[in-house]
Amino acid sequence: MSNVADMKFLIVDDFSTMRRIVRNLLKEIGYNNADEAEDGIAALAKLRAGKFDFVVSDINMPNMNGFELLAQIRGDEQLKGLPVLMVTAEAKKEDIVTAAQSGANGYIVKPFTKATLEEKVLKIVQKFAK
Amino acid sequence: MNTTQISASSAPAAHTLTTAEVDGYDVFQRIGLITRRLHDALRELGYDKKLENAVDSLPDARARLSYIAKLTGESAEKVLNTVELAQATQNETHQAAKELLVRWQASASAALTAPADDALVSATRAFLEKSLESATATNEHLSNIMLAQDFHDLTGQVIRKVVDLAQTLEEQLLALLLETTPPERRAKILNNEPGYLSGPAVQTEGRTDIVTSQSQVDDMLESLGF
Repeated sequence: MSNVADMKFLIVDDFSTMRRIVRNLLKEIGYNNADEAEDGIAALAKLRAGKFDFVVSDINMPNMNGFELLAQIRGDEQLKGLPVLMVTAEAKKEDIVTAAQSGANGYIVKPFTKATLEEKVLKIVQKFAK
Repeated sequence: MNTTQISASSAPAAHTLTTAEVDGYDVFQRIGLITRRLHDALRELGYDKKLENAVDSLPDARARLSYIAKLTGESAEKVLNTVELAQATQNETHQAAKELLVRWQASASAALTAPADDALVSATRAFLEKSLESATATNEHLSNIMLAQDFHDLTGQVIRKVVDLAQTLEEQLLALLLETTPPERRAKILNNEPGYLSGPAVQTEGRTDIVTSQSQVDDMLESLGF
């Protein structure tokens, strides 16, 4: 991507309020370009249809959860290189291990702060910029 | 299940069996006996009615929980709408104050104003500076108000889990109720089929297999090479 601020985010969460919160926080952090999806299936359709640079995904969702979405992304030739940040209420250690082993680039436990989101997003953006 | 083959007591078996056979036989027969006794007791004591009431009340409990989820969701959306409007207004104020301040600063440095206006100029500049600070602080408060709406997601997940538990309980009680109801009345009960609400959510408290802070998550990820 030419300009980091133009990065296009996809926010995946089954709760519309959480999607709005993440979207607004990203805006405050400086990322104005974001779209939303309510579960893994909707997310995959959007990811395959349009150019996205970053995925912020919940785990516990109906139809297709965040782990399944992550597996689909990592198994897709076009999407496998996408940065994926998990933002979830799942605080089980085994979930964090699963996320890391499945190729997640970061993991944030809800409830979180703007500073945490900013730090994790920035860390991943910098890593991918290298 | 044939429960008439054994007595309720632990009377020795009439024929020779191995210990394992005796244990296995005994356990299943005893469970059968207990079930039969429970079944009879429920009917004798009129608990089948209570059970029926319990089954009937669970959909109501689920509906109430869903109502809470719906209302808290709507409230959170309203707050988010208002916060977004207020943020837009604050951003406009911030931008206007910033632009005006730059102009006043340029004007002052160029000494374009008459000496008599000095007090007014500094008061205006002080006000603009204060406006900038206030707009920034208010935006920070608005951001916190917005973030606090995450309760909808977090409580919503717990509510879903309880609704799910209530449904499982309802199904099990219904099965028990059917067991204790004469066949001719079963259809009546079955007509009140339990509804189905959406899936499970995992909320974790007081357990050792979970993390309790973001720093623990970070430590774990670091140990996993992230």
